[in-house]
Amino acid sequence: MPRKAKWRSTASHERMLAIGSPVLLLVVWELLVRAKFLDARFVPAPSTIFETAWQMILSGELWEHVRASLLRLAGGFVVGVVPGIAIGLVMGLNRYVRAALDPLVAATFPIPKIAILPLLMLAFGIGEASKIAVIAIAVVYLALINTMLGVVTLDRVYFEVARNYGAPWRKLFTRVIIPGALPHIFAGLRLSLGVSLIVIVSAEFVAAKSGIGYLIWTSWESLVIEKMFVGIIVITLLGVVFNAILKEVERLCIPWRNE
Amino acid sequence: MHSLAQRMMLPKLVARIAATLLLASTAIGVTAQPVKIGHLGIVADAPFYLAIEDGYFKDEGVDVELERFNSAAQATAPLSQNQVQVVGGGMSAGLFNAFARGWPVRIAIPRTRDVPGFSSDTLILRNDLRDSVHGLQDLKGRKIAVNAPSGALHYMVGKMLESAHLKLSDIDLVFMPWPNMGPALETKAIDAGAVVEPFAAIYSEKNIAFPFRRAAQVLTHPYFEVSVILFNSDWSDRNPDQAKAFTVAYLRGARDYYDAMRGGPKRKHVIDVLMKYTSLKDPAQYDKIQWEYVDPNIEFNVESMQDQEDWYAAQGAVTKKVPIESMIDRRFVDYAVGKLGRIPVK
Amino acid sequence: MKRDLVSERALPGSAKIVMRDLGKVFERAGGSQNIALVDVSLEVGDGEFVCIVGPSGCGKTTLLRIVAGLEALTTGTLEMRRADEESRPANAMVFQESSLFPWLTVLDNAAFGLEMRGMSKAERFARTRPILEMVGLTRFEGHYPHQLSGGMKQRVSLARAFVNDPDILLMDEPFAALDAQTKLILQEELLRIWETHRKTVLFITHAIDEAIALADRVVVMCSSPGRIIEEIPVGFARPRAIAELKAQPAFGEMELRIWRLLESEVRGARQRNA
Repeated sequence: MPRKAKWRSTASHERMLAIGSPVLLLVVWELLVRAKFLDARFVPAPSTIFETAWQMILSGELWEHVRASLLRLAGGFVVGVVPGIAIGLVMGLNRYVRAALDPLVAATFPIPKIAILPLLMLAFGIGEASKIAVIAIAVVYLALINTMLGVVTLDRVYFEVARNYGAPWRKLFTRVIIPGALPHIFAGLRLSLGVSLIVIVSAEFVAAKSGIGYLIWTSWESLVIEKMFVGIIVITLLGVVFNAILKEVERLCIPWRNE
Repeated sequence: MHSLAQRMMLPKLVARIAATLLLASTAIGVTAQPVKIGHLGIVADAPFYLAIEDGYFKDEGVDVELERFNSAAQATAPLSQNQVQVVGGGMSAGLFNAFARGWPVRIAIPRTRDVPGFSSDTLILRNDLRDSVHGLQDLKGRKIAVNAPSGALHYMVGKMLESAHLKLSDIDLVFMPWPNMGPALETKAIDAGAVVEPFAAIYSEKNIAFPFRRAAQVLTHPYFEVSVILFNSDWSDRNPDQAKAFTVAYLRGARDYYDAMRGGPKRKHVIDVLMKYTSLKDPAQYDKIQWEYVDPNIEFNVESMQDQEDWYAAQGAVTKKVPIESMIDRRFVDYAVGKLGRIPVK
Repeated sequence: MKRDLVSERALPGSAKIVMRDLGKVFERAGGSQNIALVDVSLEVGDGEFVCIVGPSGCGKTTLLRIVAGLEALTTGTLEMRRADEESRPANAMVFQESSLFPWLTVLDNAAFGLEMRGMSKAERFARTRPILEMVGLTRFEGHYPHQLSGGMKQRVSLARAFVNDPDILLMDEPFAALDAQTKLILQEELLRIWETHRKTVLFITHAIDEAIALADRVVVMCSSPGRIIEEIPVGFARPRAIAELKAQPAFGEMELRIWRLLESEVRGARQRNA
């Protein structure tokens, strides 16, 4: 069937471009360093970066840092997203709660979460709890705001249909409100993921002795630049992988979206 | 959606990389322009400030500009790009790695050292542990805070533990900036901290912690060479006369500091200048802290520098060891001391 | 929503809905008022198909929503006769387009009323599928609304209302957004399904020809303020073939008559607002 084949080749063209362009970038970078257009003293070649990465994988050093960051990420994400969605739902459904909390949210949202890290360290100590807390605080806003938006922008007619057809409160929640708000909730989750990565790296700059952020920062400070690049690449990869996973989960949870 | 500071962190890093990518390939232009000094606003920068205030640079016909940085590590890359020509920096793994990478920098003048009575680097201990922790060996299993890995204080803690036959793995090392150590000590989150002045004095005054061991008490042979003055070698190679003149003026400032350090007649003036340029604005504070030691004959303490390089290499923080002598360019101190003469040292 | 001005009890005769002097005033922010309905008195008989026709803004949708219980009336009374088996829902509304839940399949959407009443999955699907077959959507039962055309979506809406087996069907311009051909087809389908159960229907439209084609009685409303100006019985025999019906001269005469009623009101309103 000629038509189907044409569609398949367009998608595979897109996939080739998606993989091909970063590879091309690396190749150009490598050539520029070898041809001395880029000074290897300041900008290492991708080949040396990968060699360093490989050694770090073999020695287990890389996994140590990745594991530390992942644990903090998972903890902070969950601790932030769950209350964020819950509060967002309540705020979306009840105008009084919304009126009461909205100004509070708007006022505190712009506070840089890294700036309150020292306060969190006072409250939660210097261990993992303060880092999980700072990620959770950064994430809760995004989950909350997007969830609330998902509920508030839900077409009122759905509520009227539900009421007209006699939906009890619990079913209104599970069969109308949650499914209706899911696209926005997932948008909030995607943003939360991105922000968690940024926050964890910044937090590990300041207050950790393991983790990708720690790796990046100390490598820079002690000028082991190859390791710094390894750290940056790892963070990028983590972001790509997590986003792909989230996209897949979204696809399963929201099968009714028209692409 | 993210706050400004969070957005600044990683893009800042990326911007740095982008800047080095762009500039690394351009030719570095060197002309007889004002000498840009990277400074941190700390007491160790005193000779710069004195040479400016008292006209020593002017006497030598050298124009200078000050460029503020938050840390020596931050200043090292601009130094390598000749965006600043002179920086005072702590001995750290980063410094040795810069040389290993072949960056165009040289150690030109020694700066500060920890000697008895003039030892800024201190291991402070929580007041309530005064009775239970007597010697360094009692630190086993305790939580000790250091400001940054692979730097001077990390080395100091390592050497102190070694003197008691302990390893770094025998204690629980955590990293945090000096201002955070106060609350951490108060809440008993940590037991000890490796600090510089004025934090040792401040936390002592606040009755949080007391100076347990000064670096000079433990690191005695050799004394701890803490920081050095770095020149960008492209600049100093192409402008040796300007660099030499700079060093003469610097030495005059350093000698004024040395006088003040030992309680001489210049003390009040030096304190006034320091109050202007650093964040230490309380004159009384200067009598409570231990000043850092500066050698008025600016002799290099190669033995200590070598020991530090060896230590960082053993920790895996230094990738390739470079001979210390190849890092040092002695021309400028030799010229300055030759011109101004030696001072007898007690 | 308070219905304290309404009593739901057995009414004498075959009246299903009785409205007396019903009025609705909307309070706007800033203190001003919008008088939507004034002195509306109407009786709808059991099994009667009544169409309310009128220009935009005459309050016909507001009236329907009051009957549905989605709005409260301000003055007057509304009484509805309930069937003996109280388990049946009082009414089911067919909204204008886009009222299907995008996250439910056609089958789940159509079975929604039964699900809300706590019926098991097996039972409610068993009741829904025949209705879906009646509207010709059996093949699409697993589809999502975004995969359907406008006409198909309204068919599902119709099915949903019928599946719910209510006492009264309320329809708010359900075919207004469809093209002329689909509209005609759906009108005939609606009548076909309605014939099987002969429920009481209150149908809102601004299209005069649609009102005459479907109804046993046409109620003409006008605006400023919203009120009934005339009720016209439609005598055409059932079952009706709508296309043929429209070709009859009697149809055209009735259409013209209703238009004349509205025309003076509409033109007068336009002059006032000019």
